[in-house]
Amino acid sequence: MISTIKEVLRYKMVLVCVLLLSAFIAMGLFANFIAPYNPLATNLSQSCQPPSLSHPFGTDELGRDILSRVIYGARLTLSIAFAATAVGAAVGIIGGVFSGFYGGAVDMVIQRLTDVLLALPGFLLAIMFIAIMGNNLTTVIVSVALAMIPSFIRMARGLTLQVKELEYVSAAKQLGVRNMKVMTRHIIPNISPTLIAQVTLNLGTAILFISGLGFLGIGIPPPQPEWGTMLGTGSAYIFYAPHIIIFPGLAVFLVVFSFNRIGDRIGEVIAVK
Amino acid sequence: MRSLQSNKVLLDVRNLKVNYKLSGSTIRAVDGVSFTLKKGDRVAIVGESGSGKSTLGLSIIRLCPAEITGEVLLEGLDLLKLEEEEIRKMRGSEVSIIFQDPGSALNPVMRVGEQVMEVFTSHGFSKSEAYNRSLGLLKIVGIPDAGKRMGYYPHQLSGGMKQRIIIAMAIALGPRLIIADEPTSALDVTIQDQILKLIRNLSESKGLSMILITHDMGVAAEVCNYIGIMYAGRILEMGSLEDIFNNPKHPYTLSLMSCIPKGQKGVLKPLPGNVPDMSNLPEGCKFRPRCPYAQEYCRLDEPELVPIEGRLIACNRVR
Amino acid sequence: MEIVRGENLSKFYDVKVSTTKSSVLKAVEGVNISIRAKEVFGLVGESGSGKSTLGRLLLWLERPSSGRVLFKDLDLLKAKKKVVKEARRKMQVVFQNPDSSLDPRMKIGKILLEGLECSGYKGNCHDRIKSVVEDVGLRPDVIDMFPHHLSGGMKQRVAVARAILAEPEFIVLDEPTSALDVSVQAQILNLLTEIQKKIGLSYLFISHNLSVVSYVSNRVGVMYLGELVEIGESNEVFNNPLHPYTKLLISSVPSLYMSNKYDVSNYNVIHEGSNGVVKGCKFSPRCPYSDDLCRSKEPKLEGVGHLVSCFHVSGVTNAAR
Repeated sequence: MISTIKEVLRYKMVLVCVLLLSAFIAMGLFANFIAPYNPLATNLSQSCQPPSLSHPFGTDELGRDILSRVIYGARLTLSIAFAATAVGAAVGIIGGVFSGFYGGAVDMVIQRLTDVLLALPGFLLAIMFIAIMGNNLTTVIVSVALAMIPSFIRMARGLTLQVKELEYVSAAKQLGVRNMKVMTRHIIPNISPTLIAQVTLNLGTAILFISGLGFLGIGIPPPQPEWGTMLGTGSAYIFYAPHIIIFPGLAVFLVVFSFNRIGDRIGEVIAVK
Repeated sequence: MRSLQSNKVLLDVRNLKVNYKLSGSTIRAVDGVSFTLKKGDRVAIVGESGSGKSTLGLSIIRLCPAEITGEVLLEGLDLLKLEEEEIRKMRGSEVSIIFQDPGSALNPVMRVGEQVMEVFTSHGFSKSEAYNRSLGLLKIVGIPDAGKRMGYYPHQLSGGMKQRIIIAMAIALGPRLIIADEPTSALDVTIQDQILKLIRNLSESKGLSMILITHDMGVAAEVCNYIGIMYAGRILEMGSLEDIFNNPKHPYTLSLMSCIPKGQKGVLKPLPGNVPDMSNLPEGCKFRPRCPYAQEYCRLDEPELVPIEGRLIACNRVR
Repeated sequence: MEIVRGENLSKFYDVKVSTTKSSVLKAVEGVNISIRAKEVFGLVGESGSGKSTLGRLLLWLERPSSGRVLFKDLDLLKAKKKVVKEARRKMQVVFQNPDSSLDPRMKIGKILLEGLECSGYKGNCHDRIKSVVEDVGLRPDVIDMFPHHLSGGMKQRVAVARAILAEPEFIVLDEPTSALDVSVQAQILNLLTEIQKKIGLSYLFISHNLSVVSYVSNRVGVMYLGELVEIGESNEVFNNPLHPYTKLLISSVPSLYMSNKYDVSNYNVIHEGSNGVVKGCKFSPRCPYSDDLCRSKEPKLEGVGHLVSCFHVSGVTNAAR
């Protein structure tokens, strides 16, 4: 475990990404204490101010402090990303493991359901769900989770198929260990390493989806300081007051890049073992 | 049957050492091996896993990504001192190697006939000449309906057939020496028998010398006339097959032979302990921890491989 | 007394030959086998003989396509799930590959505990595990180690310990020593015979290595392409093989001891992988004695004590030899 972590952190870039992410997470956790202003407080007389000493990131079209909004945005965007990925991964992994382990009718049903979900590309699926259910915190989380479920099902199923033929699984079955126990005790721990890499990569994807929805105006509704939503409402001012979208855009970029780099590195280390 | 040159030494290995450097420590996979091989002779290098036998075979033809020292004289020419290009030319034409798994040694998307022909065409033969020679080779190695089989892909052939193709490719350019690394371990026992007989017959009829690497003493007995027992990178005993089998002297050789079940009779007397950890070898004689006759001087002195009564043996007690 | 019996067992697999065609792979076909209490039954054959599949069928790890498996007269197909589970616990297994037979993410102690829990043992688990670990020749400190800390021989000992902790009456050993070095192989073979005698277990010892099988077994069965072609007392079969395939097998073993070699130069060498025999005896393409009868009708296992499935040998009873 420790050696795996050390191996993952071997590259400076990966270390930088981990520190960056930690900074963003800390930002989200301690937003109350760090943010200089109330992110929702408007002040039309201060609208579209460029970065200055009092507003390091400038103000947006309604005079709100962008730095505070980016800080609170970290809390919002990251927590939704974690929630959506957690739900998507949980449902997907359980579905995939059951599908692979039992085979037969169970496998068929789950795979056909997955096919339905895969009929639309992930982002479009999320959009469709929002279009039907409206956009609020819950629907955003659910739509992003739905978009991620198929890849987890497929991956977990494939890994389960590989592992379930291994002799230690047969030995456990012969000892009389119940199927549920075999799955939780033997299958899942042995397929976890690859899944962890996948989860990390998916966190990056989740953020892109959430921000994408926000940008299109169907994500977390304004005035919430979600980075994507900020990008959406601020896009009209791109030539007049570019700082409004630069900072939230930079935040999205840094976080997604970090998740991707870390996820890739975890995948490399796992593959070698 | 033996040619007039049968007394000439083909291969003279002198103090061959192969060291792998792994994160700080050095693994002495082959630790000072010396032996000679005369033309037409077949020597078996027998050992368990970790003994260094495969490394020994690969290092002779410099296929080891490690530090190799010593001398490997092929009729006087030191293979270790050749340039990369020169040794590459010798592989296949002067010294051939046959590996264990025929499946992975053949290109799955190329017809076997083309693969055999490639051996010729890459050494200057014309396509038609290559075809004729390849066809002839397939017949020599006992593939029936050779013409038709030239057009087969590897997956259409059984394990035994694939190994015959490999053998054909190995003898194609008339090498002087063949190194066979566990050539039949992946095959069924009835097929193994056929392949071993083929290898032996080819060696006898063409005067090919051979180094056969195996963990199976029975295989050594079927094919070879000389045998060397390897342990922890060193040769512990070496001599003619009859000598060693009828009268094994080294404690390891004795133990190995008593580990082999001989039908219902006899009790198996296993060797205690495990094969040695190459990164953590004992002082003195490497076999000492498992040797039933170990003495104090075995810990102090590493025994040299010396000639005694017509064979080579490395044991302080026998001396 | 009989422990396990397989009646007319067959296992067929559908194999896709191309996108449109699929053919049937008959891994095991019509096998009748009976293993007695406290006996070591050796099962020999080459790849494709179906010996491993037969082992898995007897363990009920796979369902037969037809036929039945009885554990002490209990029909595993018809019995209730709970009863079958209990019966399966009494039939344990030791596999060939020490690396994949132990869960790499579990400590040895936990791996062994799994076996013990399932046997419903009521006493002190820790003590029982410690005692079995010592019985298989390991030091108690392996309990806290992971599989990758152990050598191949040690891992196999753990596999044996796991099997014993479940308190079985029958163990299937599928090539238990084939992946081990010769010196370690001997240690494990001695351990296996010692335990078998001490606890009074039955073994199905599957191996392609005839020397090993002849050493450990009381009775032996020879399999060829899914069928049992010869069964008998171990020294009977090895010293006086009746089936032409058994003779070929014995002669093919490369050996220091040149005894038991039969003239097999007149056997046909087959080349392509699958046999493709549709009618008659499966060995007929290779057999020097095959005739029209062999190619049209399938021989059955016949005899008393020493059974063989061959038209050119049947009719000769034990007494006549």
